[in-house]
Amino acid sequence: MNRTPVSLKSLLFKFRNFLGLATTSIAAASFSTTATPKLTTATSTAMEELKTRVCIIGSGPAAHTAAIYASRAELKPILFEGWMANDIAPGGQLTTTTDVENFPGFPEGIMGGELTEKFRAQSARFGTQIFTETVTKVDFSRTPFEIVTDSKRVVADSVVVATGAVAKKLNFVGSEKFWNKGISACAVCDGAAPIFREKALAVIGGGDSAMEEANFLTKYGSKVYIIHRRDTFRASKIMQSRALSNPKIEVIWDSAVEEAYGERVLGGLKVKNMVTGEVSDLKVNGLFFAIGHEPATRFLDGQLELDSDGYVVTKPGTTKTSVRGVFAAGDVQDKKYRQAITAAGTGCMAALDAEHYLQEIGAQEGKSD
Amino acid sequence: MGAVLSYMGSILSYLFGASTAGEDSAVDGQPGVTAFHSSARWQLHFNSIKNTTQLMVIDFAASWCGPCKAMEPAVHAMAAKFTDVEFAKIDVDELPDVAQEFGVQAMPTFVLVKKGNEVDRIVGAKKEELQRKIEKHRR
Repeated sequence: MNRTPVSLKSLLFKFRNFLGLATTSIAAASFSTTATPKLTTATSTAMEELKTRVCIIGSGPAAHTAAIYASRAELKPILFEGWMANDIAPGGQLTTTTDVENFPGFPEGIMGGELTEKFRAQSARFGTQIFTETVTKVDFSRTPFEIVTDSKRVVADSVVVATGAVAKKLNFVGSEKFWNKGISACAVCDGAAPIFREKALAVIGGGDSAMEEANFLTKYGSKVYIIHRRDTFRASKIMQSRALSNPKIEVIWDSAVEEAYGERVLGGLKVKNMVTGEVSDLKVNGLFFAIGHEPATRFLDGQLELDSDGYVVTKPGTTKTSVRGVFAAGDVQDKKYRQAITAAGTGCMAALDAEHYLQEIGAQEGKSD
Repeated sequence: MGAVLSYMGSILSYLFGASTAGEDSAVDGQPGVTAFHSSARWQLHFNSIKNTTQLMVIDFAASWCGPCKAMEPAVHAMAAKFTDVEFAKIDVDELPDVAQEFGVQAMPTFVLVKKGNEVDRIVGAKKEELQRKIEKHRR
């Protein structure tokens, strides 16, 4: 048995796994050639191969702060900001909010989208290579690590995972049917749509985001209901009072949505009071979830230790994960604080941790790169 | 004589608000996508294209809509590539009546129009679907 086709076949199968493809065309192409074909030409999609000292996965304050520090440390980082990864635009959760007033450095406040543009410009300024691609697979089982998108395969000495979190949605009768037909998880993205103009709208949530979004929606809707499952809000005092003093906002306490109904678009909700058990009808044309987020860790495929809520476990006081050389920053590893500024802080820590790690392995292997 | 008439014609059309593709898209900063900021201008443009067989893609967006921003480079690339297709951009805050007319529910929404009628629509920042549908309807 000729050795070449066997080794090529195993290489290709491994590569196919990275690509996540089940096509047989790749294997077919390989066996048709008898010379020594290069891996890239044997595949139907030409993957660009890149190398870096640090690969950053994410696009929010954590990822870009890590990129700023890493690029200034001349580590030539590659950053994948994702193409609508988890249905969120590059920039992350900040792109789904309007005024950000608590990020230090902006006494007049700044729009979320504008702030993320500044992050991006700053990391680009110092030489970060930014790709608007979504990472589909990673391999942290050995070094150097591998990070794969639809068109690129990056080999990295260290990785910073800063993929943040995904907006939570609730499931009830009609929640799928009216998704994007009146139900949304982003008031800022969709609030300006004409179907909501001068209509009654509802927000589910009790935190700062829910308050902010409810206020935002009063610009467009005739009335905004905040439906909250408890009898107090989690939101900061200032945001609570802003919402509660807004004449267009009415709070429905101790309640949850049981059903969404309507014809072509959302027409109303059945809301149940959790204390009395009473179900009432609420005629609204828009419903927005503002109930928090879930860490975006699915793509890791279990390669990093996660806690029971799905957050990446990091060694306290550091951004070190269960894999040496892989670091996690921002909301993906923060259950407690989840603020843009704490994310930025851990992004910096991740870059410094990565830099330190690279020096360690450089010293161990006795070579400098 | 012909030169004078065409010169006057262009002054008149400028005065009455029929914009050339260059003017509005200079505001947008990119060639190929014409942004409309007034209902009247939009109506004029829509009516003029109604009698042709040209496909028009209308991009309904909002100013702080993250997914809309994410789509911008892709839309401009398609406008540059598909030169036989007309690309228009409407801010739903600026022209809510036009957005209402087209039943826009979430942003971005791309409405494909031919001969004054909607032939297809894409809701959300779906690059591949938009490209596929443009290719399908452009002939």
